[in-house]
Amino acid sequence: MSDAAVDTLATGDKAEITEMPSSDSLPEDEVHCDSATISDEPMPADPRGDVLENAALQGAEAAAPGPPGQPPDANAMESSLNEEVIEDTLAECTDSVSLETEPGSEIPLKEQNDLAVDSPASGGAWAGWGSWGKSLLSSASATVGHGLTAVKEKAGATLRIHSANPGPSEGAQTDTEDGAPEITDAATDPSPAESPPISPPSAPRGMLSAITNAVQNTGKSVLTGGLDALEFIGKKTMNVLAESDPGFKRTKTLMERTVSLSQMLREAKEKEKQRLAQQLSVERTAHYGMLFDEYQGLSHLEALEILSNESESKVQSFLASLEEEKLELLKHDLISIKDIFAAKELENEENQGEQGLEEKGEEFASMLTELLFELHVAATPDKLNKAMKKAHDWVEEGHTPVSVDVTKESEEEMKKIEKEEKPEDPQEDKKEEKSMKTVEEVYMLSIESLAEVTARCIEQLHKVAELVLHGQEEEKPAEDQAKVLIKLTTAMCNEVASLSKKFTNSLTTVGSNKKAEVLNPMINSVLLEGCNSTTYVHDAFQLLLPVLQVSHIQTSCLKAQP
Amino acid sequence: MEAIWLYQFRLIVIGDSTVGKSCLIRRFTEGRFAQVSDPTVGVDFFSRLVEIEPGKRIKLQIWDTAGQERFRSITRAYYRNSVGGLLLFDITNRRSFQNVHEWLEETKVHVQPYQIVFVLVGHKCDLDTQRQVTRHEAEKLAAAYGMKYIETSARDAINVEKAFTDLTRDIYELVKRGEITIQEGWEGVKSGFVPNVVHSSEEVVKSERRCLC
Repeated sequence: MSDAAVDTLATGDKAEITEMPSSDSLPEDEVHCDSATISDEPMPADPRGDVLENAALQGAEAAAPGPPGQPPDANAMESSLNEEVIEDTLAECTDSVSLETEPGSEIPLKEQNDLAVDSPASGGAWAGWGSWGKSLLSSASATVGHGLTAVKEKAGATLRIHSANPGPSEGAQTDTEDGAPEITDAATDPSPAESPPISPPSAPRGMLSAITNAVQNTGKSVLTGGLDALEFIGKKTMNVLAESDPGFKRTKTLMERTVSLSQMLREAKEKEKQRLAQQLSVERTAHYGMLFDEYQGLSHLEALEILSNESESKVQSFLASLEEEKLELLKHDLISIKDIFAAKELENEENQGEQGLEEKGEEFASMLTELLFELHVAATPDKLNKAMKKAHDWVEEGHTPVSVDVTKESEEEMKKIEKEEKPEDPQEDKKEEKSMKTVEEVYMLSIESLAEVTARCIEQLHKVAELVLHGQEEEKPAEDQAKVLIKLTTAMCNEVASLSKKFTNSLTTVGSNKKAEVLNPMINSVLLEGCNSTTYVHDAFQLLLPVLQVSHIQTSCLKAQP
Repeated sequence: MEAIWLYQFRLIVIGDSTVGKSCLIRRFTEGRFAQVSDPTVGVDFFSRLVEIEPGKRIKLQIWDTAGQERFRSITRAYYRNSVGGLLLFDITNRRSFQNVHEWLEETKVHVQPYQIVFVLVGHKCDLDTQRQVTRHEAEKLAAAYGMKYIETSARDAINVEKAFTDLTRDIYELVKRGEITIQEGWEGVKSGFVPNVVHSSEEVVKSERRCLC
């Protein structure tokens, strides 16, 4: 009865949770680029992040002759030349940031500079290039598809103006009225301002900010299909850069030899897709954590930790109080308990005989009851069993499970289980609908079930710890309890593993018509959470060691005393 | 945006066995009353959001402890990380009222150096005919320890909300006044998620102004 209630509660809370990741991830995006955040019409968080990341990537690639993502042949073949080029590039980069010598730089640029000095220079000199490319390309890519021609024209014009006159950047000036935002953007770039300005020509910088302005103000859209516009801007930029810096000319030639900008952008987009997929799974991971917490898994883990720590200090202080001889004896006992805990892995393999998936749920329930009975602790596995049953039930659509067939269970417990099943009925009625579950639903259910079952496993271990410590009339030797606990933990871990396998199977079935890039992250994430789940359970089990040691000390002392 | 809460308060519910701690919490968190309830083993957990002012939510994490004497030594270990507590007695059970003093003494020893804001709860007030503790004497005892007193019934849902929300408000006030602070290594009060969108737009406005002048 408690369980059903907890469930409802948790479900109620879930709505809140789903909201979290988006608001959580916001700050991060903002760090990357204030400009996008500021633009009058904010774009959805994700695409924005993408574009930026994309652009940053692109910027790095476009700027550097031999970035990690690129074929190493360029580096290998012309390493000496490359070194030079890199140096030049670096000079260019630093130059683009430190504007002290810039006579015609307008206020925003100065401001930029001031702020840049304040901002930490993370990532060394290369970061300069990254951010340089970012400020240009992020804004550029953000506008693609929306007023492309305008962008082209404006960028082209600015570039022309600029190459004619290295000092003033009128374009930037005029755009400042509504273009203030991206100044902040540039200002927050983590550019290495403290690196000394090497080459005097600061022209590229002024031009750049002009482009940034021009590009940014023109519109807002995501990077789709506007590659040629970007390419245009990129080429123009390269030319201008090359004109004012002979070193960069070499960079440019090198770049032209290797890949075209559009190709690189496409690659970057692919990378971005992958990153996005990963990002999604990260958000979902957070989701698991929240659910795990909502099912009070964290609280039970924390409480178990409290008990474990307290027991540990009890053991230590008791050992400290003993004389040599007794100490050795007790130490021996405690170590043998510890050894049993360490032997878990072996047991794990022994027990892994695969059974039919359908039987497993019931099998597990009876095994759980049996093991707890063997432990001589009055812990009832109702909650865990119910969670397991629920998990198995939804994943085996159509297959109606027989009521839990627990062999060694007392009649009372049977009654209890029956009682508790009642509130669940309305959910079971919905079974027909469940056959129409979408991949996302299956995915969410999988994560939720893993979170719930894991939380219940940890609750169970916590309860065992509490009962082992206090409340037993007739204690079973700690060594024996340890052996049973291993079996219990192994059973739990196996069950969780088999559940996550079931869930991925179900995902594969339901999502057979989905593309791999949609389905795979979900499957990976379920497998990952399944792994995490078993780790949680296993960690919780390890927390029981001091508890059993204390229990051993208590019983052996009781024996010794009379 | 339900998930946005200002703080999380950890509350502990203590009192003699069978005074109705779990039932009170279940009424509060699940909105229903269980006729039959198993004795709590060690500690159990519940949580609920409480809106103390419009838009200001506090997440309550409630630790439901076992009242049975045999679990006392474990439940003690859980006191330390709570900011607030409900100390229950059964108005139809004089003994449980007499033990209130003992409970307070015990928690005092085990929460140091922290403090718990307690409210004294006279439970099962629906059973007024079987009352063994008068409201007056309960109020007197509560006042002696600087606690508020409230009578509740989980079965009839009397004052259940009020007991929790009043306590939450009191703690919130103390937190606001800085008399209770969030501390490293103490779980009693935790800061929640606060949207920081406003913050970033403020920055924007600032830099814009500077740019234009």
